[in-house]
Parts: sequence; structure tokens; C-alpha cells
Amino acid sequence: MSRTDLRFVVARARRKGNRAGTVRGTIAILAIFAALMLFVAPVAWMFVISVRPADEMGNGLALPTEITFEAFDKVADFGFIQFFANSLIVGVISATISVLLALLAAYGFSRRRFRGRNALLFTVVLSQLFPFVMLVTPLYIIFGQLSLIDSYLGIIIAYVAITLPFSVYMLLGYIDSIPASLDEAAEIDGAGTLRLIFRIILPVAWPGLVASWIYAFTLAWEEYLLASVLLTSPDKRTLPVAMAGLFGEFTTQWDVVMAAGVVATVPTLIIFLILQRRLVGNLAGGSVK
Amino acid sequence: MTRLQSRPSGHPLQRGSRSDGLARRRPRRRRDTIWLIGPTVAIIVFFFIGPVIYNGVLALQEVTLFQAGGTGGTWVGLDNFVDLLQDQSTYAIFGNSAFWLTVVTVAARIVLGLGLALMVNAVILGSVKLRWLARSLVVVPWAVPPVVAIVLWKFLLDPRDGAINEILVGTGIVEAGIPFLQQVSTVWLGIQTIVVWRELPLVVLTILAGLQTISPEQYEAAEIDGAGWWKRLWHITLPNLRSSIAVIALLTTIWTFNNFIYVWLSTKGGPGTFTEVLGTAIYREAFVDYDVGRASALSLLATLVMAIFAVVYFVRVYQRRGEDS
Repeated sequence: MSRTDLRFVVARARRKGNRAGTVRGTIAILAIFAALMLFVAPVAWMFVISVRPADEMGNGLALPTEITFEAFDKVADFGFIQFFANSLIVGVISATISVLLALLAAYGFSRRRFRGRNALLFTVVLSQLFPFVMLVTPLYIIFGQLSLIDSYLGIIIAYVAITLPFSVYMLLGYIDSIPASLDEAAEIDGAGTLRLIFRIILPVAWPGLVASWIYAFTLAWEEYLLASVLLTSPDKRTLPVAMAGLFGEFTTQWDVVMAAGVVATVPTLIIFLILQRRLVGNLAGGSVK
Repeated sequence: MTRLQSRPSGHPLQRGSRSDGLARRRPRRRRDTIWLIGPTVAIIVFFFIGPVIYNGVLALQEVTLFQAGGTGGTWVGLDNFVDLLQDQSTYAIFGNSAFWLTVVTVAARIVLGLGLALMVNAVILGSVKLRWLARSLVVVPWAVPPVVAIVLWKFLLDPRDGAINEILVGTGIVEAGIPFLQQVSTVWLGIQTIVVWRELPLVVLTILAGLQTISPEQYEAAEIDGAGWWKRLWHITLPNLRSSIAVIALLTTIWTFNNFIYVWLSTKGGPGTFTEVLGTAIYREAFVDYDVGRASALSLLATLVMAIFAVVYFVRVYQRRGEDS
């Protein structure tokens, strides 16, 4: 934010007779944004380095003299278009399956009473806390016996599994808040369960579905451990695994490594910035309050 | 847990059957319950419960990664556990995971998260209509995938090209760049910085959500009574945030204690085994040394410790629901 902008907003606040018009208020605003700028500076620097010519590495903190996309070309040569597509495909498919299964399960948990329901619900919540690093050895062996190693099916099953517990839990809340009288009315009209879920529940619970989908997609997009163990051939790698590999190979070519980082960060950054308002309500408020 | 609280009566684990008038429909309902819940339960059993049980079986064997899928290993009873408990390095690994990786970073996240949340929530930002910008900036590190965050910080902390060393050398604070992640005296600080930076937004958002639930009347009343900023923070804000902070502290503790990626990609447990933690040790036993029996035994020991935190978490969650209803 430029200084004139700030002066303008401060003046506006002063006209309103607000505290912001005071010197102390201005200092407080500057201090807050200084702290936040420092917080995001690493990401900004990653973007800067990705477009700074490689031979300016010795210039330290100087801004680029010219903007170049050479580093991105090298990243593309390394196969990152393929890896980007891999991540996108795996993320979209696993998030979609996860949300659909979670919707059915959450509806079942919300509207049906059956033996073992409490125990199952408890298991779902508990599995959300389970660390993957403990599962990864037995999973590798089990997946190996089922020929699920180095297959997209295997990694998609894995991502559906690790995102299901939280999605079920989140959607359960949305469906619980929909009055049961709504679907009972539809039932009397003769609508089947599936039709009822898609006609009655889905339109009301869609913010929850979007939130679950984004959660599942982001998790798949960022996941490293399972992807590195379960996908073994180089061309099947997802972005995080490729990124770690690239870093191992081009350790000192920071412009190339940072360009790869930009490629992996931009999609999630866009999603997060669009949704920041909802994130406060959904993810944080929902899971903790 | 709002969703569970929002139920009309009590929480779902205690609620009895509903709509008794529809008893005639029971048979059809029970059948469709199976296909509603079935797929999810099957996946969870296949992916979580199966591997946990199999892990227990493997822990009782001397078996390599390749034998496990084929010929199988030899049964050795509790030998793997005995070996681990007699090995001094096991205690170092648990100590590193519990203190340097978890306690320090969770404490730092709570303190800094509270600070950032209060900044973003400041009345003054609302009055100049800039709160949206502050909120957008504060989530940025969370949008950076952990792998990218680690590589980015390895760059920033690099002794030769890193921005942090450029600043330190440029301002004359140090004479030569500090190899933060390569030397024992600074390596934990380096790892902790990465963890805290990347994982801080979740804590900020949680506390921010908690702050929205405090009624403005409480502050107005305190202001009329002449309470200053610190007094209001201490007597209104913090007591109201107690449960949000407790729950997020527990969750981040559980998630960090077994974390693999931050240490593995920043130092691989080095220098030497100085920063070895549970996550990296389990991975190393299984996928570098191929000693699956030992890896599984170590996983089980770690799970036991984790179970204690999980119990505290559940007690806490259910207590809160009790208070609310």
C-alpha cells in the first residue's frame, strides 16, 4: 500500500471522527501491516527470485534488473507440466469421490439410527488424528500385494481415505442443521433416498460440500509422504514429490527451484485468497469451536 | 464441533432414536443405511484399521520390507520392543519429537498466533476498512505446500545466497553467513522457524474465529469501567479464548508430534542423528534400512504416546459439548 493511499484512508477515518485519525492509530496500522508484510515476505521473495535472471544471484537482495521466465522454461523441461497435470487429476478425482462418499455417509449418520453407530462415528473422528507415517509401512506392503503401487488408483484411494473422516464430520454438521421434516415430506411424496439427498440436502449443504472439496483437493495437492512411497515411476510423480526431486538435483539453481515453488503454490494461493472470508467461518470455526 | 453442537438435543453419540412413527419403514431404511455408510466404513477399515492391526503383527517379527510382501519374516516376540527400549537413541528420538519439534513450536504458534489474530482483528483496521487485506495476508503461508515452504526456507537460510544471511551480513550483525540448518547450535531453530511459519495461519484463523464469539458489550462495559487495553486482554479476551486455544493446542500437538516432512526434507535428521524425530526414524527404519519389524514396533510406541493426547482431546471435546447443551 502506498503512502498516499494510507493518507487518504486515514483522512477519511478522521472525518468520521474515528480513532484512526490520531497519530497513534496511524502508527498502529503501519505496525500491523509491517508485521504482516514480514510474515508474507518469504513468499514474495520466492516470486521475485523466480523471475530474476540467474546471473543476478550474487546481487543479494537487489530486485531484478529485468524480468525473465527462463527458470520456468527449465522447470517445464524437467517435466513439470506433466507433474502439474498429475497433481490436478489426482486431486480433482480424489476430492470429488471423497465428497460424494462423505455426503452419503454424513446423511446416513445424521438420519439413520443403527447398532454400532456411535462406535463408527467415534472411529471416523479418531482416524482423523491418525499420523500417516505410522500407516505408511503396512500400507506399502498391503498396496504392493494388491498391485496398487505406482498406480493412480492406489494414490486416489489413499487420498480419499485420508480426507473422508474430516469431510464426513464437516458435512454431518451441515446435514444435522437441516430440519428432518424437510426430507420426511419428500419421503412421503415418494422420493428415494438418493433422489432426496441430491434434491433436498445438496442445495442446502453446498457450502459444506465446497469446503470439503477444497479441503480434500488441497490435501491431495500438498501431500508428499504417501505420494513419494506409493508412486514409484518418475513420470507419475505429483508436484510435491517432483519439487523435492528437483531441489535435490538443482540445489544451487535457486531461480529454477523457486519457479517450481511458484508453480506448485499459485493454485492453492488463488483458492485460499478467494475463500479467506469463508475459511475463518468454515475450517477454523467448524473444527474447533 | 459446532456442527455436532447445533443438533437439537444433546450430541449425536447420546441421542436416541427419532421419528418412532416411521417404524414401519425400518426394513427399507436399514438396507439403505448399509450403502450410505458402507463405502466410507470400508475405506476406513481398509486404510486405517487394517494397517494398524497389520502393523502390530509386523512388530512381532524380524522382517525386511521385501520379505513382508512375500516369504514373511521370523517371529521374535517382543524382541523389537526390548531392543528399542534398550537403545539410548530411542529416548533421544522421543525427546526431540516431544520437546524440540512439538512443545517449542506449539507454544510459539499459540503466542504468535494470538498476537497476529489480535492484530488482524484490531478495531482500527475495521475503521479504515482494511481488515480483508490483513486477513488475506495472514493465510498466505498456509497456501504454500509444505514441500515448497521447506525448500523456500532452505533458500532463505542458505549461508551464501539466503536472504536472511544477506541481511545479517549486510547489517554487520555477523561476519560470515550462518549455516543455520547444518550446525547443531542453530539447526532446531531453523526447523522450528519453518514449522511455525507454515502452520501459524491455522492457529490465527482458529483464534480469530474464537474472537468473533466474544460479545462487544463485554468490551464496552470494561471500557466504561476504565479498563485499559492490557486489562481487557487479560480479563475478557484471554478467558473467552481459553477453549479455542486449548483445542487448537491439542490438535497441533497431535499433528506435529509424528510429523515427518519438516525434519526429513530440511535436515534428513542431521547433522548426524541430531534432529532425528519419530517420523523420520520410522521412515528410515522401513524405507532406508528395510527393517520393517523395528519400524512397526517404533510406530506402536509412538501411537501409545499419541493415544494419551487423543484421550485428552476427546475428554475436552465432550466436556465442552456437555457445558453447551
